[in-house]
Amino acid sequence: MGIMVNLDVMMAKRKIGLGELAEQVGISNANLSILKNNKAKAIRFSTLEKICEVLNCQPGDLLVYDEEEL
Amino acid sequence: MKKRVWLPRILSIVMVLLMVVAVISLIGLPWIVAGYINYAFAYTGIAFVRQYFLGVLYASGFLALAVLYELRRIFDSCVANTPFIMRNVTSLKRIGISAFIIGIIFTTKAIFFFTFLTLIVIFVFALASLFCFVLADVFEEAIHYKNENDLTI
Repeated sequence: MGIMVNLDVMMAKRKIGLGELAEQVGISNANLSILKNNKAKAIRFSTLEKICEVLNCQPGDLLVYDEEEL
Repeated sequence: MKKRVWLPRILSIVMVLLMVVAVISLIGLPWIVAGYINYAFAYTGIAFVRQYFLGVLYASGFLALAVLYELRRIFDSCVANTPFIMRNVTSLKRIGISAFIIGIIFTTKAIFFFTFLTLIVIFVFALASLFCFVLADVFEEAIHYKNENDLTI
């Protein structure tokens, strides 16, 4: 997977747990875990928007392109 | 979304009843065939006819039993609200193969004992077989889309 989700980094910076973030974003713990562990195939703009809003960050802070992972 | 679960549930029960009927018919097949031959082929009375009919009906009977079993599994997965699983694709392919073999068996029957109804049976099973293979491909594609959707957060 070329696109990596750096959610755990941002979560650590904001000192927020998985359950709390899932609750505030409005998705299940299981789905947030899939996203955090880079198992997701796609992310909806609405989910990304909500995560950015809760973590007070930009999409670029969450998503990175890793050439080696391709 | 409101699901119509009662229909596959009823169909699953119907499949079990049909399987019971099929097993009873298979057990009683020698007597059924003997009775039919006495009625339809009273003038010939050759042993070959009886053996041939028994062979055709046993083979198609066991295949029909397999079809009913696979159909029941599909209906059960519908009741459990998980119809898009690879097991159902396998079931549909097995039903397709069984229907195809039944079609071939009845084609050989049509060569030796041609009746118009045999022709209809061949046509129906050939069509059912092709339909099952297409449906299996559709299901496989649907599973692919479902997995993609499940992993879209």
